[in-house]
Amino acid sequence: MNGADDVNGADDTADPFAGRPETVHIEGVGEVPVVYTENEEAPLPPVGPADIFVISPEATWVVLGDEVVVHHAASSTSHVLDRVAALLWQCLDAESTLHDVLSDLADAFGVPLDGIVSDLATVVATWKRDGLVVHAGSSPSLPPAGSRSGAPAVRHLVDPPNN
Amino acid sequence: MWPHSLVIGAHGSAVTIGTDDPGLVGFLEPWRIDEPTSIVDFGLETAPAQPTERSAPRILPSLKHGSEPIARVEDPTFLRDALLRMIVAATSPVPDGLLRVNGTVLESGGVGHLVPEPNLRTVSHRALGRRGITAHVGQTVLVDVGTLEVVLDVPLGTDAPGPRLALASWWMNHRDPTIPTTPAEDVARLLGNVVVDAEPVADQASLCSLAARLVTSMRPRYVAFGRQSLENELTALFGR
Repeated sequence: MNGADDVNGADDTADPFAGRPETVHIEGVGEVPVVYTENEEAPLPPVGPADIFVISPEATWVVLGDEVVVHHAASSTSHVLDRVAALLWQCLDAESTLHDVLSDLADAFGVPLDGIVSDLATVVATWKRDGLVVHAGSSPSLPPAGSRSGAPAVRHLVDPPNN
Repeated sequence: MWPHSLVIGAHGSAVTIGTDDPGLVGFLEPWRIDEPTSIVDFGLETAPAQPTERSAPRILPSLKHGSEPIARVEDPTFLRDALLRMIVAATSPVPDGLLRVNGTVLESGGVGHLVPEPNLRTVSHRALGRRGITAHVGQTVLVDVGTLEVVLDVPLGTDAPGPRLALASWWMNHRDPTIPTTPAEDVARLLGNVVVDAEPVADQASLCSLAARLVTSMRPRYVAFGRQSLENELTALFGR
Protein backbone atom coordinates (compact mmCIF):
# COMPACT_ATOMS: atom_id res chain seq x y z
CA MET A 1 0.00 0.00 0.00
CA ASN A 2 1.26 3.43 -0.84
CA GLY A 3 -0.68 5.74 1.38
CA ALA A 4 -4.10 7.15 2.03
CA ASP A 5 -4.60 8.70 -1.37
CA ASP A 6 -3.45 5.63 -3.23
CA VAL A 7 -6.07 3.11 -2.29
CA ASN A 8 -9.77 2.57 -2.42
CA GLY A 9 -11.34 3.04 0.99
CA ALA A 10 -12.04 -0.09 2.99
CA ASP A 11 -9.61 -2.26 1.06
CA ASP A 12 -6.82 -0.32 2.71
CA THR A 13 -7.68 -1.52 6.20
CA ALA A 14 -8.37 -5.18 5.36
CA ASP A 15 -5.85 -7.67 6.71
CA PRO A 16 -4.58 -9.54 3.68
CA PHE A 17 -3.47 -12.42 5.91
CA ALA A 18 -6.69 -12.82 7.85
CA GLY A 19 -7.69 -16.43 8.34
CA ARG A 20 -4.24 -17.87 7.85
CA PRO A 21 -2.67 -19.93 10.68
CA GLU A 22 -0.58 -17.98 13.14
CA THR A 23 1.65 -20.91 14.00
CA VAL A 24 2.92 -24.03 12.31
CA HIS A 25 4.11 -27.26 13.89
CA ILE A 26 7.62 -28.38 13.02
CA GLU A 27 8.57 -31.87 14.10
CA GLY A 28 11.21 -31.81 16.77
CA VAL A 29 10.76 -28.08 17.27
CA GLY A 30 7.13 -27.61 18.14
CA GLU A 31 4.83 -24.74 17.36
CA VAL A 32 6.58 -21.80 15.79
CA PRO A 33 4.99 -18.52 14.79
CA VAL A 34 4.50 -17.81 11.11
CA VAL A 35 5.47 -14.43 9.78
CA TYR A 36 3.60 -13.47 6.63
CA THR A 37 5.04 -10.87 4.31
CA GLU A 38 3.57 -9.30 1.24
CA ASN A 39 5.54 -10.65 -1.67
CA GLU A 40 3.27 -9.43 -4.40
CA GLU A 41 3.38 -6.00 -5.88
CA ALA A 42 0.95 -3.58 -4.35
CA PRO A 43 -2.10 -2.76 -6.45
CA LEU A 44 -1.86 0.22 -8.71
CA PRO A 45 -3.39 3.39 -7.34
CA PRO A 46 -6.11 5.03 -9.39
CA VAL A 47 -5.11 7.88 -11.64
CA GLY A 48 -7.48 10.08 -13.56
CA PRO A 49 -7.42 12.59 -16.38
CA ALA A 50 -7.65 15.52 -13.98
CA ASP A 51 -4.69 14.42 -11.94
CA ILE A 52 -1.51 16.45 -11.99
CA PHE A 53 1.76 14.74 -11.21
CA VAL A 54 5.26 15.84 -10.40
CA ILE A 55 8.47 13.88 -10.14
CA SER A 56 9.13 12.82 -6.57
CA PRO A 57 12.00 14.54 -4.78
CA GLU A 58 13.22 11.02 -3.96
CA ALA A 59 13.74 10.32 -7.64
CA THR A 60 16.71 11.53 -9.62
CA TRP A 61 17.06 10.97 -13.28
CA VAL A 62 19.34 11.37 -16.23
CA VAL A 63 18.68 11.43 -19.96
CA LEU A 64 20.75 9.18 -22.20
CA GLY A 65 19.77 9.52 -25.83
CA ASP A 66 16.08 8.71 -26.16
CA GLU A 67 15.97 6.96 -22.82
CA VAL A 68 15.83 8.09 -19.23
CA VAL A 69 17.22 6.38 -16.16
CA VAL A 70 15.31 7.10 -12.97
CA HIS A 71 16.93 6.28 -9.65
CA HIS A 72 14.78 6.07 -6.56
CA ALA A 73 16.98 6.77 -3.58
CA ALA A 74 14.74 5.37 -0.87
CA SER A 75 14.41 1.94 -2.44
CA SER A 76 17.77 2.00 -4.25
CA THR A 77 16.06 0.96 -7.44
CA SER A 78 16.70 2.15 -10.95
CA HIS A 79 14.30 2.19 -13.86
CA VAL A 80 15.02 2.52 -17.55
CA LEU A 81 12.32 4.40 -19.45
CA ASP A 82 12.00 3.83 -23.17
CA ARG A 83 11.46 6.63 -25.66
CA VAL A 84 7.74 7.07 -25.04
CA ALA A 85 7.93 6.68 -21.29
CA ALA A 86 10.89 9.07 -21.23
CA LEU A 87 8.82 11.71 -22.98
CA LEU A 88 5.92 11.14 -20.63
CA TRP A 89 8.27 11.42 -17.66
CA GLN A 90 9.61 14.76 -18.79
CA CYS A 91 6.07 16.09 -19.27
CA LEU A 92 5.13 15.66 -15.61
CA ASP A 93 5.67 19.28 -14.70
CA ALA A 94 3.38 19.79 -11.70
CA GLU A 95 1.10 21.94 -13.88
CA SER A 96 -0.30 19.85 -16.72
CA THR A 97 -3.12 17.41 -16.14
CA LEU A 98 -2.65 13.84 -17.22
CA HIS A 99 -5.26 14.47 -19.89
CA ASP A 100 -3.22 17.36 -21.30
CA VAL A 101 0.01 15.38 -21.18
CA LEU A 102 -1.44 12.33 -22.90
CA SER A 103 -3.17 14.50 -25.50
CA ASP A 104 0.15 16.15 -26.33
CA LEU A 105 1.86 12.78 -26.62
CA ALA A 106 -0.94 11.45 -28.84
CA ASP A 107 -0.49 14.48 -31.10
CA ALA A 108 3.27 14.07 -31.11
CA PHE A 109 3.07 10.44 -32.14
CA GLY A 110 0.11 10.94 -34.48
CA VAL A 111 -2.03 8.35 -32.75
CA PRO A 112 -5.53 8.55 -31.32
CA LEU A 113 -5.67 9.48 -27.67
CA ASP A 114 -7.79 6.43 -26.90
CA GLY A 115 -5.04 4.23 -28.24
CA ILE A 116 -2.48 5.31 -25.66
CA VAL A 117 -4.51 6.24 -22.62
CA SER A 118 -4.69 2.82 -21.04
CA ASP A 119 -1.03 1.99 -21.38
CA LEU A 120 0.37 5.35 -20.38
CA ALA A 121 -2.03 5.90 -17.51
CA THR A 122 -0.95 2.52 -16.21
CA VAL A 123 2.66 3.62 -16.52
CA VAL A 124 1.94 6.72 -14.44
CA ALA A 125 0.03 4.67 -11.90
CA THR A 126 3.04 2.35 -11.63
CA TRP A 127 5.35 5.30 -11.09
CA LYS A 128 3.01 6.62 -8.44
CA ARG A 129 2.87 3.25 -6.69
CA ASP A 130 6.66 3.00 -6.77
CA GLY A 131 7.13 6.50 -5.39
CA LEU A 132 8.72 7.93 -8.51
CA VAL A 133 6.01 10.55 -8.95
CA VAL A 134 3.67 12.22 -6.53
CA HIS A 135 0.24 13.71 -6.94
CA ALA A 136 0.50 17.46 -7.25
CA GLY A 137 -3.19 18.28 -7.51
CA SER A 138 -6.27 17.88 -9.65
CA SER A 139 -7.99 20.07 -12.17
CA PRO A 140 -11.62 20.76 -11.19
CA SER A 141 -12.62 20.95 -14.84
CA LEU A 142 -11.92 17.30 -15.52
CA PRO A 143 -13.37 14.11 -14.04
CA PRO A 144 -11.52 12.86 -10.94
CA ALA A 145 -9.62 9.63 -10.65
CA GLY A 146 -11.78 6.56 -11.06
CA SER A 147 -14.49 8.39 -12.99
CA ARG A 148 -15.97 6.46 -15.87
CA SER A 149 -17.14 9.56 -17.71
CA GLY A 150 -15.06 11.62 -20.06
CA ALA A 151 -11.72 10.76 -21.57
CA PRO A 152 -9.23 9.40 -20.90
CA ALA A 153 -10.89 6.55 -19.05
CA VAL A 154 -8.26 4.85 -16.96
CA ARG A 155 -8.33 1.09 -16.91
CA HIS A 156 -7.01 -0.72 -13.87
CA LEU A 157 -5.25 -3.88 -14.79
CA VAL A 158 -4.54 -5.43 -11.43
CA ASP A 159 -6.41 -6.61 -8.36
CA PRO A 160 -8.30 -5.49 -6.44
CA PRO A 161 -10.96 -4.72 -9.06
CA ASN A 162 -11.69 -1.07 -9.55
CA ASN A 163 -15.30 -0.73 -8.51
CA MET B 1 33.86 -19.79 15.97
CA TRP B 2 36.81 -17.47 15.84
CA PRO B 3 39.58 -17.68 18.45
CA HIS B 4 39.51 -13.90 18.65
CA SER B 5 36.71 -11.50 17.80
CA LEU B 6 36.56 -7.82 18.45
CA VAL B 7 34.59 -4.78 17.45
CA ILE B 8 36.44 -1.81 16.06
CA GLY B 9 35.21 1.66 15.26
CA ALA B 10 36.32 3.24 12.02
CA HIS B 11 34.89 6.38 10.41
CA GLY B 12 31.88 6.19 12.71
CA SER B 13 31.02 2.59 11.90
CA ALA B 14 31.35 -0.49 14.08
CA VAL B 15 32.93 -3.49 12.40
CA THR B 16 33.23 -6.93 13.94
CA ILE B 17 36.43 -8.76 13.10
CA GLY B 18 37.12 -12.43 13.70
CA THR B 19 40.60 -13.90 13.41
CA ASP B 20 43.01 -16.54 14.60
CA ASP B 21 45.86 -14.04 14.38
CA PRO B 22 46.79 -12.48 17.74
CA GLY B 23 49.06 -10.06 15.90
CA LEU B 24 46.09 -8.63 14.06
CA VAL B 25 44.18 -8.27 17.31
CA GLY B 26 47.10 -6.30 18.75
CA PHE B 27 47.29 -4.10 15.67
CA LEU B 28 43.56 -3.32 15.85
CA GLU B 29 43.66 -2.53 19.56
CA PRO B 30 43.70 1.29 19.06
CA TRP B 31 40.41 1.03 17.16
CA ARG B 32 38.71 -1.39 19.55
CA ILE B 33 35.43 -0.09 20.93
CA ASP B 34 33.39 -1.33 23.84
CA GLU B 35 30.59 -2.95 21.88
CA PRO B 36 29.30 -6.50 22.16
CA THR B 37 30.54 -8.64 19.31
CA SER B 38 27.88 -9.67 16.87
CA ILE B 39 28.03 -11.56 13.60
CA VAL B 40 31.53 -11.26 12.23
CA ASP B 41 31.73 -8.84 9.32
CA PHE B 42 35.21 -9.79 8.20
CA GLY B 43 37.35 -12.73 9.19
CA LEU B 44 41.01 -13.57 8.68
CA GLU B 45 42.04 -17.17 9.06
CA THR B 46 45.80 -17.49 8.86
CA ALA B 47 46.28 -21.09 10.01
CA PRO B 48 43.27 -23.18 8.98
CA ALA B 49 42.95 -26.71 10.31
CA GLN B 50 44.36 -29.11 7.76
CA PRO B 51 42.75 -32.38 6.70
CA THR B 52 44.27 -35.48 8.24
CA GLU B 53 44.45 -37.37 4.95
CA ARG B 54 47.86 -36.81 3.44
CA SER B 55 46.46 -36.81 -0.07
CA ALA B 56 43.84 -34.18 0.64
CA PRO B 57 44.49 -30.70 -0.72
CA ARG B 58 45.95 -28.25 1.73
CA ILE B 59 43.63 -25.49 2.91
CA LEU B 60 45.02 -22.03 2.35
CA PRO B 61 44.63 -19.06 4.66
CA SER B 62 41.52 -17.09 3.82
CA LEU B 63 39.90 -13.73 4.09
CA LYS B 64 36.19 -13.94 4.70
CA HIS B 65 33.22 -11.65 4.43
CA GLY B 66 30.92 -13.13 7.04
CA SER B 67 31.43 -16.83 6.60
CA GLU B 68 32.06 -16.57 2.87
CA PRO B 69 35.71 -16.81 1.78
CA ILE B 70 36.49 -14.09 -0.71
CA ALA B 71 40.17 -14.90 -1.13
CA ARG B 72 42.42 -17.86 -0.36
CA VAL B 73 46.10 -17.07 -0.60
CA GLU B 74 49.18 -18.72 0.82
CA ASP B 75 50.54 -15.45 2.20
CA PRO B 76 48.64 -14.34 5.34
CA THR B 77 50.35 -10.94 5.22
CA PHE B 78 48.72 -10.29 1.86
CA LEU B 79 45.32 -11.18 3.31
CA ARG B 80 45.86 -9.08 6.40
CA ASP B 81 46.69 -6.09 4.22
CA ALA B 82 43.59 -6.77 2.14
CA LEU B 83 41.48 -6.96 5.29
CA LEU B 84 42.74 -3.58 6.51
CA ARG B 85 41.93 -2.07 3.12
CA MET B 86 38.47 -3.60 3.13
CA ILE B 87 37.72 -2.14 6.54
CA VAL B 88 38.54 1.30 5.14
CA ALA B 89 36.46 0.62 2.03
CA ALA B 90 33.49 -0.46 4.11
CA THR B 91 33.55 2.47 6.51
CA SER B 92 35.00 5.56 4.90
CA PRO B 93 32.73 8.12 3.23
CA VAL B 94 32.74 8.43 -0.53
CA PRO B 95 34.51 11.63 -1.58
CA ASP B 96 32.60 14.08 -3.74
CA GLY B 97 32.84 13.35 -7.40
CA LEU B 98 33.76 9.70 -6.94
CA LEU B 99 31.68 6.56 -7.16
CA ARG B 100 32.23 3.53 -4.96
CA VAL B 101 31.47 0.55 -7.14
CA ASN B 102 31.24 -3.14 -6.31
CA GLY B 103 34.19 -4.98 -7.74
CA THR B 104 37.81 -5.98 -7.42
CA VAL B 105 40.66 -4.35 -9.29
CA LEU B 106 42.92 -6.54 -11.38
CA GLU B 107 46.13 -4.69 -12.14
CA SER B 108 48.15 -5.55 -15.19
CA GLY B 109 50.60 -3.45 -17.14
CA GLY B 110 50.09 -0.51 -14.80
CA VAL B 111 46.35 -0.20 -15.48
CA GLY B 112 43.31 -1.49 -13.63
CA HIS B 113 40.37 -3.61 -14.65
CA LEU B 114 37.32 -3.52 -12.41
CA VAL B 115 35.89 -7.04 -12.19
CA PRO B 116 32.90 -8.40 -10.22
CA GLU B 117 34.35 -9.71 -6.98
CA PRO B 118 32.31 -12.93 -6.69
CA ASN B 119 33.65 -14.09 -10.06
CA LEU B 120 37.16 -14.09 -8.64
CA ARG B 121 36.52 -16.12 -5.51
CA THR B 122 37.50 -19.41 -7.08
CA VAL B 123 40.34 -18.03 -9.15
CA SER B 124 43.86 -18.87 -8.05
CA HIS B 125 45.93 -15.80 -7.31
CA ARG B 126 48.99 -17.76 -8.36
CA ALA B 127 47.40 -18.40 -11.75
CA LEU B 128 46.63 -14.69 -12.06
CA GLY B 129 50.22 -13.91 -11.17
CA ARG B 130 51.45 -16.17 -13.96
CA ARG B 131 49.53 -13.94 -16.35
CA GLY B 132 51.09 -10.82 -14.88
CA ILE B 133 47.90 -9.88 -13.04
CA THR B 134 47.77 -8.62 -9.48
CA ALA B 135 44.41 -8.81 -7.74
CA HIS B 136 43.76 -5.99 -5.29
CA VAL B 137 41.46 -8.05 -3.12
CA GLY B 138 38.41 -6.10 -2.06
CA GLN B 139 34.72 -5.89 -2.65
CA THR B 140 34.38 -2.25 -3.65
CA VAL B 141 36.60 0.37 -5.15
CA LEU B 142 36.44 4.09 -5.72
CA VAL B 143 36.19 5.24 -9.32
CA ASP B 144 37.14 8.77 -10.28
CA VAL B 145 34.79 9.36 -13.16
CA GLY B 146 36.51 12.60 -14.11
CA THR B 147 39.92 11.05 -14.68
CA LEU B 148 38.74 7.49 -15.39
CA GLU B 149 40.92 6.08 -12.64
CA VAL B 150 40.35 3.64 -9.84
CA VAL B 151 41.47 4.83 -6.43
CA LEU B 152 42.71 1.93 -4.35
CA ASP B 153 41.89 1.98 -0.67
CA VAL B 154 44.75 2.32 1.77
CA PRO B 155 45.01 0.02 4.80
CA LEU B 156 43.46 1.10 8.07
CA GLY B 157 45.90 3.34 9.91
CA THR B 158 47.40 4.83 6.78
CA ASP B 159 46.82 8.50 6.05
CA ALA B 160 48.35 8.66 2.58
CA PRO B 161 45.98 9.04 -0.35
CA GLY B 162 45.13 5.84 -2.15
CA PRO B 163 47.17 4.97 -5.23
CA ARG B 164 45.45 5.48 -8.55
CA LEU B 165 45.39 3.32 -11.62
CA ALA B 166 44.01 4.20 -15.02
CA LEU B 167 40.75 2.33 -15.53
CA ALA B 168 41.23 0.18 -18.60
CA SER B 169 37.94 -1.70 -18.45
CA TRP B 170 35.09 -2.38 -16.11
CA TRP B 171 32.99 -5.48 -16.12
CA MET B 172 29.52 -6.32 -14.99
CA ASN B 173 27.75 -9.62 -14.79
CA HIS B 174 24.99 -10.39 -17.22
CA ARG B 175 23.26 -13.70 -17.70
CA ASP B 176 23.64 -13.29 -21.47
CA PRO B 177 26.39 -10.85 -22.45
CA THR B 178 25.55 -11.25 -26.14
CA ILE B 179 22.33 -9.27 -25.66
CA PRO B 180 23.14 -5.69 -26.59
CA THR B 181 22.42 -3.08 -23.97
CA THR B 182 21.71 0.62 -24.23
CA PRO B 183 23.68 3.23 -22.28
CA ALA B 184 20.60 3.77 -20.11
CA GLU B 185 20.50 0.09 -19.24
CA ASP B 186 24.20 0.22 -18.41
CA VAL B 187 23.63 3.17 -16.10
CA ALA B 188 20.74 1.43 -14.35
CA ARG B 189 22.87 -1.68 -13.81
CA LEU B 190 25.78 0.42 -12.63
CA LEU B 191 23.56 2.24 -10.14
CA GLY B 192 22.67 -1.18 -8.76
CA ASN B 193 26.38 -1.75 -8.18
CA VAL B 194 27.14 1.58 -6.60
CA VAL B 195 27.69 1.66 -2.86
CA VAL B 196 25.84 4.51 -1.22
CA ASP B 197 26.94 5.90 2.12
CA ALA B 198 24.85 4.91 5.10
CA GLU B 199 24.19 8.59 5.65
CA PRO B 200 21.60 10.01 3.29
CA VAL B 201 23.31 11.15 0.16
CA ALA B 202 22.92 14.90 -0.08
CA ASP B 203 23.06 15.01 -3.80
CA GLN B 204 21.51 11.93 -5.31
CA ALA B 205 21.42 13.71 -8.65
CA SER B 206 25.19 13.61 -8.75
CA LEU B 207 25.06 9.84 -8.33
CA CYS B 208 23.00 9.53 -11.50
CA SER B 209 25.09 11.98 -13.46
CA LEU B 210 28.37 10.37 -12.35
CA ALA B 211 27.08 6.96 -13.38
CA ALA B 212 25.98 8.35 -16.74
CA ARG B 213 29.35 10.02 -17.17
CA LEU B 214 31.20 6.77 -16.56
CA VAL B 215 29.01 4.85 -18.99
CA THR B 216 29.29 7.45 -21.71
CA SER B 217 33.07 7.62 -21.22
CA MET B 218 33.56 3.86 -21.17
CA ARG B 219 30.95 1.22 -21.80
CA PRO B 220 31.07 -1.79 -19.47
CA ARG B 221 32.26 -5.18 -20.54
CA TYR B 222 29.57 -7.73 -19.77
CA VAL B 223 30.58 -11.17 -18.63
CA ALA B 224 28.41 -14.17 -17.90
CA PHE B 225 28.36 -15.67 -14.43
CA GLY B 226 30.67 -18.58 -13.82
CA ARG B 227 34.33 -19.38 -13.73
CA GLN B 228 34.65 -20.39 -17.37
CA SER B 229 33.23 -17.08 -18.59
CA LEU B 230 35.70 -15.23 -16.43
CA GLU B 231 38.51 -17.41 -17.72
CA ASN B 232 37.49 -16.62 -21.30
CA GLU B 233 37.47 -12.91 -20.57
CA LEU B 234 40.85 -13.05 -18.86
CA THR B 235 42.27 -14.91 -21.82
CA ALA B 236 40.81 -12.37 -24.22
CA LEU B 237 42.34 -9.50 -22.27
CA PHE B 238 45.60 -10.88 -20.97
CA GLY B 239 46.30 -14.03 -22.95
CA ARG B 240 46.95 -17.46 -21.51
